[in-house]
Amino acid sequence: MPDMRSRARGCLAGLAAGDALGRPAEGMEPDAIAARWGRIEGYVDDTPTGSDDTEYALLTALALLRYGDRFTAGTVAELWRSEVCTQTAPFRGAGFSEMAAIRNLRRGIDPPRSGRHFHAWSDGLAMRVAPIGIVAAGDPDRAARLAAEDGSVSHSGEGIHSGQAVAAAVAAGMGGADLAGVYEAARRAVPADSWTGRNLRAAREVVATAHGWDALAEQAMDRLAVRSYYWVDLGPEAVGLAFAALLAADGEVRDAILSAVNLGRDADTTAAIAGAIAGAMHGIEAVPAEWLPAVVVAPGVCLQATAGLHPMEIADQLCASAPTAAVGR
Amino acid sequence: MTGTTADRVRATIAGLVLADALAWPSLWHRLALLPPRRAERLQEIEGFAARTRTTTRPLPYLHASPAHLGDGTGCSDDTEWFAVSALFHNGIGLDGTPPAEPLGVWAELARLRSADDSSVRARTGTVVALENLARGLTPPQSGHDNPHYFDDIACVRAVAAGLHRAGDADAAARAADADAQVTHAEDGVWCARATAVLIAELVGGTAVADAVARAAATLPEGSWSASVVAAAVRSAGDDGSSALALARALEREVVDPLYSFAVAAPETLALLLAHLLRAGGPEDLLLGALAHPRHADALVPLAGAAAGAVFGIGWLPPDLLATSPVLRGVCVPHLAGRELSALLRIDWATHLPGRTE
Repeated sequence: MPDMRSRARGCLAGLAAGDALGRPAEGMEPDAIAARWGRIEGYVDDTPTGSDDTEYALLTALALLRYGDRFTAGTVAELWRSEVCTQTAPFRGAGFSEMAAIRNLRRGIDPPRSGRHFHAWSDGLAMRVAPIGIVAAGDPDRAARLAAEDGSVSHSGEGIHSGQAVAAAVAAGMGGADLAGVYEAARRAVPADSWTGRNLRAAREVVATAHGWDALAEQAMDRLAVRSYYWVDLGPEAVGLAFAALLAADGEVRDAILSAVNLGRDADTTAAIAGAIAGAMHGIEAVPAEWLPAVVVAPGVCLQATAGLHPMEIADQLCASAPTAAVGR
Repeated sequence: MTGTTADRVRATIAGLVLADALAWPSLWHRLALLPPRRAERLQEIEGFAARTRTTTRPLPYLHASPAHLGDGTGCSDDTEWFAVSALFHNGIGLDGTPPAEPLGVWAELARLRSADDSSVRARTGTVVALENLARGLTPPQSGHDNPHYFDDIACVRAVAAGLHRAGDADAAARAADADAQVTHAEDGVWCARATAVLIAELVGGTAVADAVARAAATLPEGSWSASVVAAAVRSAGDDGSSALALARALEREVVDPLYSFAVAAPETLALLLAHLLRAGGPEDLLLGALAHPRHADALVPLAGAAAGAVFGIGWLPPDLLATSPVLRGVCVPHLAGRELSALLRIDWATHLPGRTE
C-alpha cells in the first residue's frame, strides 16, 4: 500500500503528466487523434509541458496551505484578488471561466456571484481541485464541501458539481478506496438529477457495454461530448470522459491517462483529472518513470503566482498539512 | 399607454419584425436562403481579406439571386423562433394541425433535426436542446444539459408568451416557463419569464417603470440575471444620459466582452430594461439597442417588440401594418411562405385576436 506522501505525489504527478500528455490532443476527437498519431502512448512533443491545469491546481494548493482551516470562498477570493487579479501579463492558455471570475472580482463582485457568468459550467474547477482531495484524504464529503468553497469564486451549477465529483474521487483514492469506491464517492458528491450525475452514469454504461477501444471512443463521443458546441471545456463532459477513461483502464495510472488522452476533446484536462485520481489511488510508484521529467517547476505561463512551485514539493506540503490541519471542518 | 390593446399587440409583432431585419447578424442568417456556394465563397473572401490585410469587410451578396431574396427588410431568425413559440402556445404544429406529442412543435423540430441536420438551423443552445430531446431527455433536463442554457433567444420567444397572455403577467410567466424550459434552464428561463411579464404588462397598459420593475422582480435574488439587471437599471437612473451615453456606460459597466458568443440573456435583458427606462420614444429605444453591436441579434428585435408594446403603431412603416409579415424559412424551412398572423391566430387586417379553431 502506498503511504500518504506517495499518494499525494502520485496525485499531482498524475495530474501534471496528464496535462502535458493531453495537451497536443486538446480539441481533437478520437478519430482525428488516431489519424495523426495512431494511439498516443507517451509524449508526442519534443518539450512536453503542462498548462493552466497544473498551474490552477497549484493555486488551489496555495490557498489550502495559506488558509488551512480558514479555506472558504471568501479567503480563496482574497488569494485570487492578491495573487491573480494583480497579474498584468496575459493569462496564457486561460479558460473563459477563470477570466470571467477575475473580471468579476476586479469589479468588486464577491463569491458566489463572481462565479455566475457565461462559462460557469466549465471544467476549470474540476481541473484544479485535486489538492483538496489530498488534504481531505479519506473524507470525500469534506472534499466536496471544500470544492464548493473554492468553486464558488469562479463557477456555479454544473461547474461546481463536476469539481466536487473530482475532489471527492481524489479524497476517496487518497484514503485507499478501490475503483468502485472512488466512482461511488464521485457519484455521491453530485445530485442524481444533474448533468454531471447523468454523465457519470453514462460513463459507466459506456464502459460496461462497449467492446474494444473503437466502440468505447464512439459511444463516449455520442453520449458525453457536446459536439454542437465549439469549445470543449464543459465540466460534465470532461468528468464523464475522465471517468470513462478511468473505468476503462481499471483505475491503472498509465492506461487511465492514455485513455483520456486518446479520447481527446479537452484532453489535457481529462487526462489531468484521470491522472490525479489514479495517482492518488496507486501512488507515485505507479506513475510511469518516463513521464516524470515533465513534472517540473511551474513556469507561470498562465498564472505568474505559481511560477517556481514544484508539484512534488507542494504534494509533500499538502500531505504534511492534511492530518493535523482539519482543513475546513 | 398608446392605442388599443389590439393595436399594441400588432405593433409589438411589427416592431419585432422590423428590428429583426435591422440587427446586423440577420445579414448572415439570410445566407441560408442563398445557394450553399455563396456562403462558401463568403468564407473564402474572409480568408482573402485576412491574408491580404485588407479591411473592406465582405458582406453576403445577392447578385444572380431571385429578387425577393434581396429584401433586407424581410423576416429573419428571431421572428421565426418567436413564431415557433407562438405555435407551441397555440398547440399547433409546423403544418398548422395539432401535433400528437405533448411537446408539440418542439418534438417535431427535434425529429427533423435528428433526421437531417441541414433541416433546421438554430442557435447552439437550441440545437443542443433539440439533440437532448431526440435522445430522450425531457424538460427540464432537455434545457438544462446545455452549455448555452442562458441563451437570449428564449427571451425573444417569450414575447409570444407575453402576447398570448397580454394583461395577465402571471399566466404569461407560466407560459414562458413551459416554453423556455424545453431548451433553456436557470437564467435562460428566468430571463424569458421576465421578458414575458414585461410584454404582458406593457401590452396590457402598465406604465413602463412599473412594467420594468415587475419584470425585474421575477428574477431570483442573488442570481446572475438579477445582479446584472440591477446594475444596468442603476446606470439608467443616472440623470441626463442620452441613449448613446447610456449605451456607452452599459458597455463599460455591465457588459462582459470576454466570451466568443454574446448570447447571455442576463445581459440582453439588462440592456433592454435599462434602455426602456430611459427611452423617450421608439426611435430612442432602438438607437440604444443598436448601440450594443455584440448583443444585436436578440437585443434589437426585443427592443423593437418593446417599442411597439409601449408606443403603439404610430411609428411603424404603413406597409408593415397593411399586410401580415411572411416568414422566409431562414432557420425553419418548413415555415417559409407562411403568414405570421396565421401562425399567431391574429387577424392582421382588423388587428383583433382571431378565433381559435
